[in-house]
Amino acid sequence: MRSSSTSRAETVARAAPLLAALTVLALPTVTLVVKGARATSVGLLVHLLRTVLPPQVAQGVLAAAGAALVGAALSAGGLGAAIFDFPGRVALDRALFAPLLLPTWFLAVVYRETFEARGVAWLALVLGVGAAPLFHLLGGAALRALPGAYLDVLRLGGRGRGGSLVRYLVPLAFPALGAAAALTALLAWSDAPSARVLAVPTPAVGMLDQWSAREDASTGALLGLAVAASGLLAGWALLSALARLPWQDDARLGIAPARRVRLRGAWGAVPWVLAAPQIALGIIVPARAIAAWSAERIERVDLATLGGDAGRTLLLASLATLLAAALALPILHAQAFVWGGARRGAAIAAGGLALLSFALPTTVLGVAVLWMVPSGRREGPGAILHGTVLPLVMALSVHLSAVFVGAGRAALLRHGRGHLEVLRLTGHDRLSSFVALLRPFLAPPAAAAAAFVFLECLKDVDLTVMLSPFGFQSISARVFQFALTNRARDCAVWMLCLALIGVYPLMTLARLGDREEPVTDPC
Amino acid sequence: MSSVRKRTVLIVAGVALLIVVSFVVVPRRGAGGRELRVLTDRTESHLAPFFTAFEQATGIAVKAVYLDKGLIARLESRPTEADLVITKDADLLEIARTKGLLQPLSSAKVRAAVPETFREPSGAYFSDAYRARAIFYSRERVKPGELSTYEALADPKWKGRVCIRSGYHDYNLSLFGQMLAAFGPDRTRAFLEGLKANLARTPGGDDRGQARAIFEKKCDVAIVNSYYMGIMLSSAEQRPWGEATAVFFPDQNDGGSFILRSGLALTQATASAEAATQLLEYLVQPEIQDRLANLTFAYPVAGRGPLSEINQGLGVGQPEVDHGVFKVHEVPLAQIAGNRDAVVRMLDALQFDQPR
Repeated sequence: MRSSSTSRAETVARAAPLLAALTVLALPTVTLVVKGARATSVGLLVHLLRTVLPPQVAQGVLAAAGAALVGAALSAGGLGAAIFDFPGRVALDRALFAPLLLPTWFLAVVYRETFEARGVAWLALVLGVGAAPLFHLLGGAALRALPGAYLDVLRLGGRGRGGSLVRYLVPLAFPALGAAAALTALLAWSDAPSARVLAVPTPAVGMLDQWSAREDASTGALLGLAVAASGLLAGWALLSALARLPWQDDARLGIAPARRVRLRGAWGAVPWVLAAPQIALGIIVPARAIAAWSAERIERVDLATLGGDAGRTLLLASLATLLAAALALPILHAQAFVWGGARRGAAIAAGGLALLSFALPTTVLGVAVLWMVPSGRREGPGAILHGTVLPLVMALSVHLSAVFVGAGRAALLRHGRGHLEVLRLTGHDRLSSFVALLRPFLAPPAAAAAAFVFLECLKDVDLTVMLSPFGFQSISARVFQFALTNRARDCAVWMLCLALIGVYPLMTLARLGDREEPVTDPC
Repeated sequence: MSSVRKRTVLIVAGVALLIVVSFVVVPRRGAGGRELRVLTDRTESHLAPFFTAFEQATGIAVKAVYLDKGLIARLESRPTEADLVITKDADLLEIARTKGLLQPLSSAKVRAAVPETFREPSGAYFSDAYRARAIFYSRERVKPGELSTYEALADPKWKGRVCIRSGYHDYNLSLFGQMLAAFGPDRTRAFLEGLKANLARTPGGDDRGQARAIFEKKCDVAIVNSYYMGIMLSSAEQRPWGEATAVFFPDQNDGGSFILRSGLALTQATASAEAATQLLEYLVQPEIQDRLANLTFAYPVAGRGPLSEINQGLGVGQPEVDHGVFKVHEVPLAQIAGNRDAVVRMLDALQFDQPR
C-alpha cells in the first residue's frame, strides 16, 4: 500500500499541468477585472453603459448577424464540393480556402479602395466573405461524415440518391453550419481592424476609441470585457452546436460515411456556379487588387526590409503555434482521463477559459498582458520578458489555444472511455495511453488546428502592434500601419509575400479538411 | 527511456530552445546603453531616415516601436521600456507628465532652439513642429469668402456638405479640447451638434480620405490637418485630391486657427538620458528641422529656411495669411489635456460617430 504522502504528491503532480494551464488562461481575465474595476469610477462606468454601448451594440449585432448570414449564403459551392463529385472538385475545394490567406481587414481595405465601401452592410459582407472558408471547413466535414446507410435506406424507399442527399441529409449538417455561423458572429463581434477601415463604430472599435481618447487602459478594458461577455454567448452557442454535430455518434458506432455523388454532364458545373460569388468576392477582387498594386510598386521594394519582416513574422507564428498547442495539451489530457469530481470540473473550467480568451478581443488581451508583464522595476518579475517577443507570443497563444482545445475535444469525443480503460488494464500509464492511442486520432485535427493558428498569427495586427518589442515589425503590422495612412497600395508586395508564406499551411488545412473521416469499429 | 518519453522530452526541449532563440533574436538592451528606444505614434517613414542619420553621426542605434493607439497606456504599463517618447500630438505628453512618466530635460541647446511657447514650463516636454487643424474646401464648389470660422461650419447652409474623420481621433479631440478651453462648453456643444447635423456621411477614414471625398464630390468642406496638402501633392496617386482642394485657415479675424503640436520627451525611467538628450538636440538643429519640415510639411518651431513652396501657397485668397504664415490660437496643452474627458463625454452624448 502506498503512503498517504506519496498519494498526495501524485495528486499534486497530476493536477499541476491543469492548474498551470488554468492559471495562464485565467490570468488575463482576472487582471482585467481587478485592475479595470479598481481604476474606473462608477460615474464613468454608468456613462459608458448608458450612453456609449447601446448604439455600438446595435452596430455590432448587425455586423455579426450579417456576417454569419453572408458566410452561410456563400457556402453553397463549398458544401457542393463536400458531397458531390464533379470535374475540378479538388481544385474548387482548395480554392475556396484561399480567403484565409489574407487578413480580413486587408480585404476591407481592398473593398474600400475598389468600391468605396463604408458602413455596416459592407462590413458584414467583408467579414462574411472572410469567414466563408469556416463554413466550408465545418459544414463540409459534417456532410462528408453523413452515414451511407441513410442514403441506402432512402434509395430503398424509391428516392433518388442526389435528391435524397439534398432534401433529407443536408439538414443534418445544420448544427455544423450553426457552429460556423456562431464562430463567424463571434469573430465579427470582436473584430476591430476591419470595422475601423470601414468606419463602423462597433463595440470593439468603441473600446479602442475610449481607450485611446482617454489614454486610460482600464476604461477600454472594462468595455472590452463587456464585449467579451456578450461574445461568450456566441461562444456558448458555438460549443452547443459543436456538441450536437451528427458525425460524433455515427463515427462512434462505426457507420461508414456516404460516398460522394457523381454529377454528370451539365450538372457538374452547378457547384462551380454556386461557388462563383465566393470566388469573385473572396479571391478575384483581392487578387486583382494585390496584383495591380504590386506591379506598380515592385521596383521600389526594399528586399532587406521585406526579408526581415518575413523572418520575424515566421518566428512569431511558429512560436505562438507551438505554445498554443502546449497550453492546450494539459487541458485535453485532463478532459480525456478525469471522469468526475473536482478535477473534471477544473478541466471543463480550463476549456471554458480557453474559450473566454478566444472571445476576448485581442486588443483587450493586449492590455491585460501589458499589465501582467510590468517592467516598472528593472529587477521586477516582468523584467525577464522585457524587450522580447515573449509577451506577444504569450498573448497570441493564450488567445488561440481554444482552437487546439476545440479540435482536440472533437477528436476525443469520438472515443468511448472503453478504449482508454482497455489500455489501462493492459498496463499502460496515462501519458503513454494518451500519446499512443490518441495520437492517430489527435494528430490530424491538431495539424489542422496548427495550420489555422499559424495562419491567424501571420495575420495578427492588434496584438503585434500593441506588444511587439522595439525594432520588431511583422508583415501584417507594417501593412496595417501603411493602410491607416492611405498607403496600403505601397505595401501590396508585403501582402503578396504574406499570402505566399501562408500557402503551405493553408493547403495542409484544406487537405485535412477534405479527407475522408477514419471510421473505427469497436466490434 | 521509452520512445514516447523521448519524444516528449524532445518536444519540450524544442519549445524551450525556440523560447531561448526569441531572446537572442530580439536582444535586450545592453548595459552600455549605446542604443536608444523610442516609443512613437508618428509615421515610420517620417522618422526612420532621421534615426538612421543620427546613428551614422553618433554611433548610437535607435530602435522604435511605431504604435497606432495607446501610446501612454503602453508607457504607463511598461515605463522602463523606452528612453524617449515622440508623438504627433503633444496633448498626450501632458497626460504622461501628470502621470509622472516623464523627466525634465535640461538641455541648453533645446532651450535655445525651441521658443518658450513650445516648451512645457517645467521642461517635461517640448514641441518640434506644428500644423493647423484647417478647413479643406473644394476649389470648384466653394469660394474662400464663404468660409470664416470653425463654428460657421455648424451653419445650416453647410448641411450635407461637411466631412470629418472619427470625432474620437486624437486630432479632433485636440481641436475640440481647444475649442472647449477657448469658447466654453455651451458654444463647443452647439458647434458639435451643428457639425454633426451638417455631415455628409458618417465620420470615419483618415484625413486624406476627407480630401478624397471632396474630390469625389461627396462633400464640399472637411476638417483636415494642413500638412496633408503637401503630402497629397507629393504623391502621384493622391495628387488629384490635393489639386481639387484648397486650405483655409479659420478664425484668422478672431483668435486664430487651432494647431496640433508634435512633441518629444524623455521618459522618467530612462537609463540613457545623455544619449536621449543628444537625439533630441539633433532633432532641433535648424538643418534637421528644415529637412523634417520639407518631408512632413509641418511648420517647424526651430527652422531657419523659408517654408516649403507648397506651404507658402496655403491659405490662398485669405488676405490675413502671409505666404502660408497664419495666426495661431495658442491654448496651453495642460488645458487641452484636461478637457479630454469632457470632450469625449460630449461626443458620446451626441453619438458623434454613429451613422446618420
